Amino acid sequence: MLRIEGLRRSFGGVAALEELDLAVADGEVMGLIGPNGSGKTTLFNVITGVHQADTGRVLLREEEITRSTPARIVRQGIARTFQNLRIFQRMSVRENVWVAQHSLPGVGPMALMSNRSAAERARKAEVDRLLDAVGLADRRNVLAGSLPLPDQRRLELARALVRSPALLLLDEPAGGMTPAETAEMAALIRDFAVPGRTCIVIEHKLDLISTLCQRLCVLNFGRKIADGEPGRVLEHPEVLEAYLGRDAVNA
Amino acid sequence: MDDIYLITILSNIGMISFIALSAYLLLVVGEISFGQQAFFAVSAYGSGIATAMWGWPIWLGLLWGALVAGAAALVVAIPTVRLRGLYFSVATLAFAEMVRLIFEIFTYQVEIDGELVGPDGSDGFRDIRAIYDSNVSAFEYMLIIYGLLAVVLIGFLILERSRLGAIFRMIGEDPMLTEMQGLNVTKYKILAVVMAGIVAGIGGALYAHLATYVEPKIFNVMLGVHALAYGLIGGLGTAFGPLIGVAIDIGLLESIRAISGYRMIVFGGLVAVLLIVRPRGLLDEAAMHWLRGRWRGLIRAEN
Repeated sequence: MLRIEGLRRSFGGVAALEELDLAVADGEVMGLIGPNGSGKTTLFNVITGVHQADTGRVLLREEEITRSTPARIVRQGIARTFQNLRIFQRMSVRENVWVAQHSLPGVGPMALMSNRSAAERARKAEVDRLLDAVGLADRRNVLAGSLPLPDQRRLELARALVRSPALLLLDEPAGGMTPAETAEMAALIRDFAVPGRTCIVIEHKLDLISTLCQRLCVLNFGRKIADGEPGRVLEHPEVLEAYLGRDAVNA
Repeated sequence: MDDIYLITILSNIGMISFIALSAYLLLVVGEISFGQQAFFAVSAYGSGIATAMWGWPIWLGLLWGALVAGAAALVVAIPTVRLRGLYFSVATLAFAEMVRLIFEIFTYQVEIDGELVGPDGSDGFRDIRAIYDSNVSAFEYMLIIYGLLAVVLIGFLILERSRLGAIFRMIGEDPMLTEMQGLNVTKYKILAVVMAGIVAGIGGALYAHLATYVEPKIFNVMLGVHALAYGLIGGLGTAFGPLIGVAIDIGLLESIRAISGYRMIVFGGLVAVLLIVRPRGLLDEAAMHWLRGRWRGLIRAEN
């Protein structure tokens, strides 16, 4: 599904990603972990075209998307959420999901101006179905900016799913949540978001990772230091060192 | 207060509403234009030339003026929409001043019935007499102005409920997030600038024919600044916002003689206070959301 070859990206003198190679198979759910500043979000930003790669290639279904614009990459079937939440605060919850349909195939100039056709009604029904699934149905007419943080994360998830993306990139979907909320979110992603698609999840919470992922990849200073089955990766000495420090590992 | 005075004020409110809506549309997409008066001017001259010099009927002159303004807006949009914030504002201001200075030297006259008609540089463009020649009364012309305003306003209200209107608001709030919904932000911003140019152009064409005389200095930056202020006073949550701004400024401050001398002081103060207390105007998005919620509740209670 996704293949990354020799990807490099630096900001000023700091290399955020260095010679990164990564392949994610169809239907695979991969966890992406690493200490702060290890390049996880930069990787999402390069995949989605927010940042350009300095060198290297990104391929989606064997088609190169490295130099594409974010809009075109999204239309090719990638959707994402954001670590520091990005929603349209001045719009309602329902509108926030509805707006992600604007660029779907089949939404022509007529649909951009009028919402009376049967196809438009079906699209609205799809928005309501997703809001129901993520548990926001009763608040669909509330201004999105007034939702509490866990609900804003659910809203981002619904907005990403409304485009039925082939590849879903989740950036700390349980960031800032309590353990109970995290468990709920993990179940929602496992049962609703993930089935039928490929997914990369950035997350620090290992219980969420272990609920969702068959595979775990660890970044440190922009390099991949471990990749494989989660139980094995978490015992890898370099991973322990990156997270706990050398002294702790030796002790 | 005699009738003709009232009709003049109401006609002015109507015409200025077009440029207010024009600036409002760009505020919705998150851009501050100090140059909407340029499209008002281009259309005033363009439609005046069409009716007074080429002998076109008035309705065709109005249409022509709006189209010329739209074309001018496209020319401005292509190089400027990639600019953000202050840079876009300065670019639009520079363009508008350039247009004004071009009209200061623009001379194009033809002889009609032994008299020279047409723009004559800084002396302006006299005898745009189409509505008087076709015996349209001031009252009838006011109805034309409000008829066109109603059409444009309905267009805005339809736009606001549509996906296209939502795209404009998305760009105004977060262009990168809009791009991440698969939308080409540049393309939609160009569309917004062209639409805003056409709307300002309708006002300019109406103005030229009511005044019968236009000169470059009318279209200075103060016209554009007022146009911006109307949306910021009335609110950016609905197209009624800028109209409320126009009504407050022209309907109250300029027309009530006792306070008209203090107009700019009151107006400037009002803008300053509102920018602090309600930065997106009286009818901002939150206010409109609340009003729509109440409205839905009322309808539900009726059923």
